[in-house]
Amino acid sequence: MLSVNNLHVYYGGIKALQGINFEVKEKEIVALIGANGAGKTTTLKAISRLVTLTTGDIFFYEINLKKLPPHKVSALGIAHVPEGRRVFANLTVLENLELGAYLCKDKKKIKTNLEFVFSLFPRLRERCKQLAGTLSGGEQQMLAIGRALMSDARLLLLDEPSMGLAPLLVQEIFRVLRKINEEGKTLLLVEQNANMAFSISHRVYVLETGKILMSGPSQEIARNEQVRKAYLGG
Amino acid sequence: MKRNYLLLILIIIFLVYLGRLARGLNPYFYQILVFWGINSILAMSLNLINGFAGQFSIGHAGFMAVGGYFSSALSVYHGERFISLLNFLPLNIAQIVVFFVFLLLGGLFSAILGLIVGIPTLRLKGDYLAIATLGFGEIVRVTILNLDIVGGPRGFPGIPQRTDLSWVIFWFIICLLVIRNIIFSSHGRAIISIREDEIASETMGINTTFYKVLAFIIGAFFAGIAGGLFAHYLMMLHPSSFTFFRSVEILLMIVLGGMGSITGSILGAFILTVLPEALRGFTYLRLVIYSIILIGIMLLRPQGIMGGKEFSPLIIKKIYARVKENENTRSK
Repeated sequence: MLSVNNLHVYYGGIKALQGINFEVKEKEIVALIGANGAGKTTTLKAISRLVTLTTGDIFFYEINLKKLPPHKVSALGIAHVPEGRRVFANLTVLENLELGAYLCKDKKKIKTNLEFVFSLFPRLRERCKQLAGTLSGGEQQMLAIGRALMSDARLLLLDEPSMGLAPLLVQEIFRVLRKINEEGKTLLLVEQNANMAFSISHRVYVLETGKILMSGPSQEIARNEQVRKAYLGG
Repeated sequence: MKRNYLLLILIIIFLVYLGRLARGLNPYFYQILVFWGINSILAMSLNLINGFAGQFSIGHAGFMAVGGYFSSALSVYHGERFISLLNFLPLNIAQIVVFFVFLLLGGLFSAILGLIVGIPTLRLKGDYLAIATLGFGEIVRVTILNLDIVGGPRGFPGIPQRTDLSWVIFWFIICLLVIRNIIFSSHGRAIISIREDEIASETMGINTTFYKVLAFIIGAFFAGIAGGLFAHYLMMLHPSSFTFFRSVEILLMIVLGGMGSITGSILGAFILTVLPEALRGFTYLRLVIYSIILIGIMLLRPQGIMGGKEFSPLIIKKIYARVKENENTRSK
């Protein structure tokens, strides 16, 4: 579905990504894990074209995303849940969700998608009229995910959905992510919380300083000595 | 739907007629009303750029100058010719048609300039954009200062007086309707989402560059119209009317009234037009008191008087509905 070939991204002199290759197959959950500064967020941003690629190609099915502007990428069915949630703080929850469906012109579909989001996150329905900026961190994360789902995307890019959330909420978010996956969506997940990432994903790529260190099925990687030491605490 | 349009046209005709009636008014008050209207158009159009799209522009006087000078130059050099071309119409109607077209051309010229300036500068954010637009405003002023055809530093006299309160009311309503309808459409949502979070709105599939430039062009268009109205009211233009301070004054109106509120812009324009006049009695203390009042308002309501909310006549309907709902629940 998505394949990234020899991707390099430089921020001026800093080489954030130095030739990474990976692919995401349909209906998979793929996790990218790694320490701070490994290039996880940059990878997602490169896919949704928020940063310029230095070299390399990104193919979504047959389409090369390299030359597309960000709004064309979302039109192809890739939704990015950005790091730090970035909800529209001065708009209501409902308005946020409606903006998520900005590209979707089919009113019926918007309605079914809205019901789907509300069934995943009943809390959002309760707070429909509330300004997004007044929600708690967890609720904002739910809203950010819900907003991405509203676009009817096939591939969801999730940038640290567990960041800054209470453990109980993290479990809730991951339960929902699994459910979204069961509904047929493909997820590409960036996580610091390696335990959670291993438990939910089918395959994992481990990034270190802009390169892929290791890849494989989650269970296999989770057993790896090096990974256990570095990310799972022994 | 059709009835609504008919009602709207009737309201516009009524208000424009009201403008004619106001001619009997004390000329001093009449002038204040005209300036309030022109300032409201400027404030609403700047609010689209600054308040709704969140792009901090302080070059609005530049667009106003461009529109004003362009339509005035047309009036001065080609006005008589075009009016005589329309000799099959009565003279006053021919004048109205020609003035309308010239104003429109002034606005369009300003909008084209908005496009040319907007595309490169709207990549910038925050303070950087402010400085770039400030630079634009100065370039316009200095260019006019050196254009002999429009009088340069001597000013541009001899502009026929065409603007009256009816014209101002007419354009005020057009500007209000256009901006209101944009804001409450899905395009408006897109524009507001850019202000809220540009990256998130980009990932929603919104073409942020397009909408930023669109807001800029529409803002520039109405600033150009306001400039034309201003010029054809005063009958004389001078580059010193379009300095940086003019831009700041317009900015003050929208900050005072509330960024992202159309009614706030109108209110802000009212305060900044009327306040300096109302304080005339204080002679040399006038500007001190003026400043103190502005500081006071900003301290009490830092988000602006309207604070991003709108006042709509429909609110009475809403309150009525709520009262009724309460009664219903109580009776149950």
